[in-house]
Amino acid sequence: MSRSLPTPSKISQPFWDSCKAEHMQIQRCEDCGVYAFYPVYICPECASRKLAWMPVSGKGTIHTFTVAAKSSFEIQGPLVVALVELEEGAMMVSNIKTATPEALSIGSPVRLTYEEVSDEITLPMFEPA
Amino acid sequence: MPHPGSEAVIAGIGEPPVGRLVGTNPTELHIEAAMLAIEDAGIDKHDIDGLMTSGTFLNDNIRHHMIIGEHLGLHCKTFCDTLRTGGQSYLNGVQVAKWAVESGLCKAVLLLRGDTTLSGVPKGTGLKAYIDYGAHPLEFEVPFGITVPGVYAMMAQRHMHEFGTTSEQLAAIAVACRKHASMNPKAFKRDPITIDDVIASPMVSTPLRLLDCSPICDGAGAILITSLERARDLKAKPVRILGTGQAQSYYHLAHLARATGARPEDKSRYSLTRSVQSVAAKEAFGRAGVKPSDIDVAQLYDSFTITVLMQFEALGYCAEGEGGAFAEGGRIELGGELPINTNGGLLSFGSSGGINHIIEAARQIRGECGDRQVPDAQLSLVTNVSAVASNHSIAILGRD
Ligand SMILES: [Zn+2]
Repeated sequence: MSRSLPTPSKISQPFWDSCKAEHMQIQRCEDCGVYAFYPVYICPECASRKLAWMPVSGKGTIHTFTVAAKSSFEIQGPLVVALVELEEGAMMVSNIKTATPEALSIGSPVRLTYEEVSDEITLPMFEPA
Repeated sequence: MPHPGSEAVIAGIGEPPVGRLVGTNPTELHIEAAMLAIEDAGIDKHDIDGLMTSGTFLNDNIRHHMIIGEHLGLHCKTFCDTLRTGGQSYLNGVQVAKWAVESGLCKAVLLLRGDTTLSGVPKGTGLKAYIDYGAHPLEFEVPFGITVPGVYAMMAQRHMHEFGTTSEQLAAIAVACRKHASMNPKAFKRDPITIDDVIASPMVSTPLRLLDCSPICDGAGAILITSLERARDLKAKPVRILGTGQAQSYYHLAHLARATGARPEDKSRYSLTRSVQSVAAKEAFGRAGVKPSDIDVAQLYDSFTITVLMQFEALGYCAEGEGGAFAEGGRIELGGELPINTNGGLLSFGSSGGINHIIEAARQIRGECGDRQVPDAQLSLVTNVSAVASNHSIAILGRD
């Protein structure tokens, strides 16, 4: 089994395009200021339609994580699945690329990196900062 | 409030064997379970005018209830549906059946589950099948290798971080379930285990080990719900449904962690470790007019040990963060303050989905649990949980 890849939709295409350009952008609500992730049609907090794509700093912390005993697809090193809290406040599930997962803990700082997994898709990932 | 006698009750239960059931299939299991419940109740099948099923993992159909209704020869139903809320479908179904009976829409409603997730899924294909089933967010989580044990592991990791919960405390839940299963001749996993056995079992996804996870297992169940006045003329002892509650939040971990969309003043009440089950609990206990300490026995949905631990807090058995300590010292074993999962639960009895928890909860009220019977059980609590500990249904059962 290989890594299952996302199929971008109308609303998520700008996000995946920004990852492919290795300059990840997520939506920010111009009315309430909340950064939303995943890509949405209205702000999930205040229902505003004024959502603007904004670049992120790439800084984040680990909100929680797990190290899988085995991965269902081939990867280099251990499979660390994490919920990362971006500096902007949004959270996203991703992988932490590290050879030493035992050194990770909740609250650890991480920084954004990218992994090109197909001609169309580059996944946003994180590494210890 | 319905008039006395029109109150909905559980009037029949059916539970075929669980385990690796080679040579059967989900449809056959539905029929076997249904026939056992119809026999248990002693009801004329022509009186059944409501049917709910929940589909099956493989060979699923959006109108699964029609397939099963035809096999059972239930010709004209005034209410019928295929439930789509996963492991919590069954208490959801109990609540809907209660409404159908109490509103006069139905005379008797049959609620069914049956699946062969163990024998029917070729080895090594289960994860792909589960992903294909669409049970997890495909675009933003699955590409990163998320699994069902993985999401619960991330909750456990967070609970440990916030409150100092230990692997041994999680293990105490698996040990209690196995102890009870050892007293249940029908259970799938019956050899007693210790906390050390759980800790020594292979890691699945940190911090959850193999014995923290419920085994994949074939099984089925059926529940027949009708009015109290009708049930009193039937064979089985009626089991009252004193209170029910539901609460459902989200799928994506990020949305659960942030309580996305909640009123600003409510956001701090919810997190990855604080589910909306507290809302369902308030509703169920309120309707039943009882409090957590009144409950004699509880069947708590146990897909993983952490699933149970978080419920001790959400249901009001202990303060936030104290679920780990609550699980210790035999408190949740037979003879303790809150015996849980007396049939062994998903962790050791087996089956899948939440219907068998309801059957055991009813059986405790009927006083039919043999060695594992809680003496004089008057109030029986049961929970179903699904998705990412985000979909909850609860019922409190009692005597006629
Ligand atoms: Zn907004």
